[in-house]
Amino acid sequence: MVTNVMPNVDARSLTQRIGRTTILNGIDLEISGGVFGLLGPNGAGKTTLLRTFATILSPASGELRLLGYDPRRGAGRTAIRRRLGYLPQHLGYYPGFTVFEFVEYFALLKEMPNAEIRPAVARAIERVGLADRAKSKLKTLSGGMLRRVGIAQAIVNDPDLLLLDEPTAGLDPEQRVLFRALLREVGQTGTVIISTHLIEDIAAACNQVALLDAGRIVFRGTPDDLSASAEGGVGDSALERGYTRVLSGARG
Amino acid sequence: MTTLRLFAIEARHNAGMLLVPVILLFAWYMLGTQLWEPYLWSSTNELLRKSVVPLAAPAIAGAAAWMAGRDRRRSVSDLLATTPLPAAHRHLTLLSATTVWALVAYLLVAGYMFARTAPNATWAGPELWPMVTAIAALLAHGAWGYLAGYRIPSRFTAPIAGVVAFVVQLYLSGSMTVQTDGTQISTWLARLAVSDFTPRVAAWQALFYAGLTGVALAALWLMLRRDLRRGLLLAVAVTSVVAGVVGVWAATPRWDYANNRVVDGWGNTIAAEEYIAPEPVCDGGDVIVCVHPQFQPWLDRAAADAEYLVAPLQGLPGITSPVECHKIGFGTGRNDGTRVVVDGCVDQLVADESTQGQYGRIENDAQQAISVWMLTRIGGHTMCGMSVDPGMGFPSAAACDAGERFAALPESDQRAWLESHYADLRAGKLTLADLP
Repeated sequence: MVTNVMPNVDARSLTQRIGRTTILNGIDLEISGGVFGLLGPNGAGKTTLLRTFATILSPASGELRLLGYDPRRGAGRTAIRRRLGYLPQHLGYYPGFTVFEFVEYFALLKEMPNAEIRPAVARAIERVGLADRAKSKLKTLSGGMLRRVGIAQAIVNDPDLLLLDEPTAGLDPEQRVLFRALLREVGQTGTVIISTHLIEDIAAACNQVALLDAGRIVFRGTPDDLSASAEGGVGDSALERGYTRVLSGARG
Repeated sequence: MTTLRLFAIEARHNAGMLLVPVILLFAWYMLGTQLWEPYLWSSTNELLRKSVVPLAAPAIAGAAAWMAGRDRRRSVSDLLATTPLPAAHRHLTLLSATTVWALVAYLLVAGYMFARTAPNATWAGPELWPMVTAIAALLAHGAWGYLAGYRIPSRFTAPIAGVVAFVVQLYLSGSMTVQTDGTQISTWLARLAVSDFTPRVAAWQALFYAGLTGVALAALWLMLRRDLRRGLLLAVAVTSVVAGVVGVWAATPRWDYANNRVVDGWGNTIAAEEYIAPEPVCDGGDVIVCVHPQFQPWLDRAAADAEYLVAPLQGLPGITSPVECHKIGFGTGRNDGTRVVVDGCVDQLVADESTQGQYGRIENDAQQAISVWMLTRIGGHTMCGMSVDPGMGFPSAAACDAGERFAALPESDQRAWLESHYADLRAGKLTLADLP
């Protein structure tokens, strides 16, 4: 359980570069509890921002504190990782592992207490609706099922900071609905950040949203705030219109 | 507990597991063709060293390379990077879970061979140092394969690592030098090969391979994160490798021809006691047979065969009582079992030592003819009809014919001839014309 005294994510002038290319340019972001949505066009820097929050990339410059720790310090990084859940955009997996083994493997790597691992793994698999496939090898699963396995490994340690990159890609509508419920559930006790292209995910699950374009945050508010700026935008829903309107505004 | 569970999961889904049946199949073939009676510890120890490890070591290098590249091939690296367990811990667990399969296969083969040998062997026992060296070598191959696979996570790294390990071992074990008398002996470099072994260098071999393991692990850890502690570990490991190489070089015996002695690398004389054979065991009545203690189970048979061989000569002038029969040998064959070979005793019976040529060869035709007769009588190998270079000590065609004629004589005639000619025969004074 995390108190909201200190934001779980606190980024100030965060910059990230790959080679000479600046991917993130002076990101200022404070995120406390709840479900936070990251929107933005392809190449906006969403995945890089999530990878930075996931401690895979070290910030090129600026300040970053996650769950109260500095990820650039070894001890802080370890403390963050124990309370972190991460689902990458493209989930790699070991085809010969069973669903249970794969989730257990990551529970072990997350240094969960031994006594808690097996029940936690079983619970995580249950939460993503794969209890009946727990003993199936990953190579026998469909793309959507693999995505759910990825979500299971991300939530197995009941993370205080859950980072999900395109989590609903490949999920069928029924699973997507269940997944949004799961997001709201996790968001009650910790912080969930999802990067997605699916506006309906944002509308259904997020209480905060940021719009990223060319490495900068061009909008920060609630989904309702984004919908409110829909005038002049294009799209089928108010949120989509807000999205396109803010983007075109940011690009001048 | 975490480590054990991780180890169990990694071991269960490991390329190393596929090695076990391959190694066991290879060992089964090798043992089927090379391990038969007599079950001698010397043979078992040598076979275990020379057959299993040279195959298992390159195989484990390949398997470790394959496993080390798995995370990047499977695109799991990002996910793994977000977990708090130190990467070095994870890699060490995966490496252990890979090499353990080669160790299991090796120990299974060793256990089987020891179980086959122990009830039958009458001398010596299993050599533990070669096993220590073998295990150290397996770990070293695994560690270097893993390092290669981690550095270059390509699908081709694994087979290349295996082939390179095999070629290096082959090169090392084949390192020979020609001595002044024309014979070839292994150089100190060959002693670095896992298939080579002498008690003098075993500890240094083990240190060499342990150092190689340390170098690979330290290099891996330094790639993951550079710090002083890991740098020091690399320095210690490199020192171990150097110490192992120097130790092997120094402990390898060499002939000092100028002073006719065996010396080590520093020129110190190696005590002759190291090469003295064990106390032989003897048996027999009129004919005494002595054998290496590891052949004790066949001593009764050897004594009986020797008794039968000497029987027609008993009581002749020059035949001592009892006769001490030298050069007892043992032939083995997959289908024949162990065969006692007393053929070598014939030489001492038909020829005085002074009449024998180089390496105890019988060169007198009359002596060869009687030798042919005696060997024919006991079913031994007469070497008649073989096309060989002159001077090799094999009987000529004329000697073979004379031997066969002598064999065709009645026993009383044979005895009569021997009573009158035996002393001259042994002295090398007879020719084929003197034979009946």
